Amino acid sequence: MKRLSSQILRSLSLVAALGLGGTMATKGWAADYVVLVNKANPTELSGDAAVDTIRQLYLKELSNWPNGLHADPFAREGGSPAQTAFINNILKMSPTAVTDHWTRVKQTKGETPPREVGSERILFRLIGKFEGGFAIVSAEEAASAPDTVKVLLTFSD
Amino acid sequence: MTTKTRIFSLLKGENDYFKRHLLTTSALLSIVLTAMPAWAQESPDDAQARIDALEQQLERVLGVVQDLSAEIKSLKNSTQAVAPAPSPATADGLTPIDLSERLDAVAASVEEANTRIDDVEDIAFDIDERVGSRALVRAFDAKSFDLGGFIHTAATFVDGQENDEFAVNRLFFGLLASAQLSDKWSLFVGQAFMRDSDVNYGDPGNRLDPNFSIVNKTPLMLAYATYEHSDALTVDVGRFLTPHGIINIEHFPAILLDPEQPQFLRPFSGQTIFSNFINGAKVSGQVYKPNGINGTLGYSVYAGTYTENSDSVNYGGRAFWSFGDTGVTIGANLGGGRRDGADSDYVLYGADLLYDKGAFQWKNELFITDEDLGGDRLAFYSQPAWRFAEGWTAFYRFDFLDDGTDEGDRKEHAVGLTFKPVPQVHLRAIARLNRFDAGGGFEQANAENYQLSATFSF
Repeated sequence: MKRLSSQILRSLSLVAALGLGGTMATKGWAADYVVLVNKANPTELSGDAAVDTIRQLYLKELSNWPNGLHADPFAREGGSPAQTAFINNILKMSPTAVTDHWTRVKQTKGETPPREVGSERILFRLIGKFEGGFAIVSAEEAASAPDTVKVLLTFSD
Repeated sequence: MTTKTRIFSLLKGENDYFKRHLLTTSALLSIVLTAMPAWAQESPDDAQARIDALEQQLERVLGVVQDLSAEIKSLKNSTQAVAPAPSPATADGLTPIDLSERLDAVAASVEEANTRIDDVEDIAFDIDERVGSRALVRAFDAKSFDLGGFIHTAATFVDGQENDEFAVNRLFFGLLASAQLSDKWSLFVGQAFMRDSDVNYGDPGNRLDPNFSIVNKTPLMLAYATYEHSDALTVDVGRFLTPHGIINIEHFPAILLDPEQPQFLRPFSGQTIFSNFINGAKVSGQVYKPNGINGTLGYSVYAGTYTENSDSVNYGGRAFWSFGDTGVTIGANLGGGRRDGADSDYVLYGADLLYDKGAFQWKNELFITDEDLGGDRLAFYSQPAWRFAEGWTAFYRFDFLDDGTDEGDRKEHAVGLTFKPVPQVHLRAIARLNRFDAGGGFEQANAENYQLSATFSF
């Protein structure tokens, strides 16, 4: 029975993923990774403008979204595929350059790097809790995101 | 075959074993009953023998019947113990398929709950591992409180024209703390505890006789409160680094390739060209893509007093432009004030250029002053660097200073190799050649120095 339940669960997950994948395709975010923001965040950015804004907010070079909303960036675990993809494609920096950046920011401004969150479920909650919250998740993880978050940007590794 | 199915089979008459026993028993009973009258007409001995035989047979048959009865009773009891057989529909109208789906949904829900519990447990374990039974540090009254700092140490050998000296001349502990008071207000403090010495020259022309004189100092480096209205408008009040150029803003050895800052920033907390630190107020901000132009425009303006000349006001500012993601930033600087220990005002002009992208970094700064008394001052440096491997950087710096005196210009060439085995540890080996131009009655002189240094930050 347990095995049967697992099989059914897997099948349902697959069906759900395929269904959401279809939705992703129609929404234009058929990609490997997505940047999620709080559903209440009115920011509408796309392309390079979105990438540049997210990069500056994540690096704490800017602290507010273009609409004035205070930004709350969250990071994924160091070395995880999502964080690596984020560094390569959004920050466009080497890992060394990123650590150098945070050393500089810590020592000169007292700012700390964004908090690392491993579990996507907790990440969803945090983004849903903080109006200016944002983070990267894989498209697969995004398939189970609650309706308190929305997709701002998508990209493929 | 299970007990349950066997019962169903028995009830449906499909069990051959059972049927055979029933038929045998019935036949034997019929024979006995029909033969009884005939036996009565036979001789008494024969009849008695046959009766005995039949009684024995009857006894065996009854035994079989009793066994079967016991078996049936046992099977009936066992059927009451097991779940009832599937039925087409339950009392509330649910079919077996509905129940199965409900069961699967419950199983899925339990599995998801278990996954979430695993996540929460991971976090709990992580927190417990970090905190354990230790006491938590809490800020008296702040949303958050962050503590950091660094230890910097250096060993230097100087080969001067009249003397050689060696000393572990730098031991510098910097404690940094920041507190977020609210979304808009924060504090940042940097306290230094130092036992260190610059390379000093004991001869009148400050060029021939190097020596060290390690002293104990505990300066308050930074202490300011920040109000952040927006990215375009932030106000700092307290003691802060004057926002000129590149290296003075970075300032701390954990960040710098060469912890011995350019000559115009020496001595620590001095005013050779401009005040490195100031007590006062600073307004700064930056705008991303102003008027849609790809880049970032930033500014800082300040006014305050230099600690060693606290009865007058120094002022200044810097504006910069970063060209998109090209890695290029240019800055323009303007300032002025009164010199320490002299009744003389100065005006500062400066420019800086930074390229920082990929494997290459190039820092350049130029400052000129217009002095009321004494000669005008000029300082500049150019510092290219190459990140040639993970954690490894090689750099060169040419550094020029005309301090406005007639003792000649000072030039410094520095070549260094730095390595970060982990982000918090910065190791360096630097060779430096100092050239002192002739002037003021003093002849040209050279000095070489070699330094190993390490900075550990957290």
